Amino acid sequence: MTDDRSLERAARSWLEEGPSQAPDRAVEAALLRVETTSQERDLRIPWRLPKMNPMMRLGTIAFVAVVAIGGTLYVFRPAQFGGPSTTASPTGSPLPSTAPASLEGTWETTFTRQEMLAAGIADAAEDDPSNYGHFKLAISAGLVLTVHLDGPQDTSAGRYVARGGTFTSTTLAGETFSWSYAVSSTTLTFAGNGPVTLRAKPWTRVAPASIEGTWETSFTRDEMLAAGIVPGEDDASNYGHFTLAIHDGGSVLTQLDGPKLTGRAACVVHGSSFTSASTNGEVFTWSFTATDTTLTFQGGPVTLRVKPWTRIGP
Amino acid sequence: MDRDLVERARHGDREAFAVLVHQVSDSLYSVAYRILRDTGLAEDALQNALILAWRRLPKLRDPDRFEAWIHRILVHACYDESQRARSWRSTVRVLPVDEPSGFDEHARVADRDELEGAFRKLTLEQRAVFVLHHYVGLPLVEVAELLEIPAGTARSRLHYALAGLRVALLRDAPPVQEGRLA
Repeated sequence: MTDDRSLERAARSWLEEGPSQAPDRAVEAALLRVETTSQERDLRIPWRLPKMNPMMRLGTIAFVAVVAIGGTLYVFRPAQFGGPSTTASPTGSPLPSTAPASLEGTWETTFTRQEMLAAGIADAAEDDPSNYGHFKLAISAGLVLTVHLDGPQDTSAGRYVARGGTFTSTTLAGETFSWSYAVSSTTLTFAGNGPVTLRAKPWTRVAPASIEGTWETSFTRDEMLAAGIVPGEDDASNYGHFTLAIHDGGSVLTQLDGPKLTGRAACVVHGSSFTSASTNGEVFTWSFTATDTTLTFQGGPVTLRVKPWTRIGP
Repeated sequence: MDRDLVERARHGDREAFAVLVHQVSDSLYSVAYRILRDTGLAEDALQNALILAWRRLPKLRDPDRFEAWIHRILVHACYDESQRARSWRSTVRVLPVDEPSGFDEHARVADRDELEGAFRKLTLEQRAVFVLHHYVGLPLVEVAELLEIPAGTARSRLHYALAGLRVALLRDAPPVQEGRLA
């Protein structure tokens, strides 16, 4: 096997050996993840600043990519899931550890393209299907998350500060959007020059979802692996004994053993879908089934879906 | 490849994407396995490639290039996968069940083991070019196009892959480093 031709011939024959069919489990796992994964689309983020300069536009695209790419990353690793006081804004200014109580929670609105146009858009680019329709908005723990419930079902997430009647949201890319706002126990209204999606129609507070409460589960590494993971999820912060508290548009996942990490997220519950945005801007969606006492997740990062959760408190 | 399916998947149709996945996953997995020589890593590379392809599909400019495009994503997923430290990496190797057809007199068991060892000493970039050319059967120009590298680079990688295999088969030699072709 010393001349090139015989070597190539032998190498080709050798290459023919080995599996030639993709394992069903790998394909099905990928398709399952696709079910909860958004596609990357340029400039579809609802929070567009009018008249963005090129650098800001680039930032918006980068943020969309970060949100979309987040689907493959795991939520609960140490470097990415800070505790309640570990996050900092892109500008270094402190974020409030809690928002004004009346602003926190889940809100909902629906408006048509005509109603969006009537509210006033900055330019033709804002006249995009991702900017009108049916939305839910979660505000919690310094995080804000919108989920577009029809159309492309996009999500947008960022950090926010509400101060002096001004609601300012900052994306991971460092873009800052501001609206004035007024809030009551039932209604949240945005106005001003911020992107149209928040201000097109008033938002109505959503009643607590049935899965709100405090839940508990415990599972081993072997059980986590058996549930199916994506690369990078085999991490001590992803298995063990956990509590999950879901209240007022936010969730807190606490690991009671191992690295004992705590992670906060803004979350939207809609139908049997649970979408969360963590402090680093990653957005994930799981489907779930629930009874009064048991909560079971499917899809999404592994930690929530390994074993059913048992309700331990309101 | 059905252009209509690709277009529908580009616009967010998950069912269309699933059909496409079932059409290409065997080919993608076969290529991933042959580059990585590990079934576990190949599965992970396949999954990551499929998920990434779904995300990036709206940005695919020419639906007719879907197959080449998704193979490019796969090769890069293989590069990523090989670098990932995994404590639970599979150590089980898939052994051939059937006698491969067209296996010439040189392909004795000892040769297969030698080829396996020699191939593992190649760089991933060399393996990718070698597999796409000798296993998938793409002309070098198309390999270069698929990998988005100059044709000369593809030719060079193939040359050094072959040289690496030859040297390693002759003796237990260190990996052949890429250089410039004269």
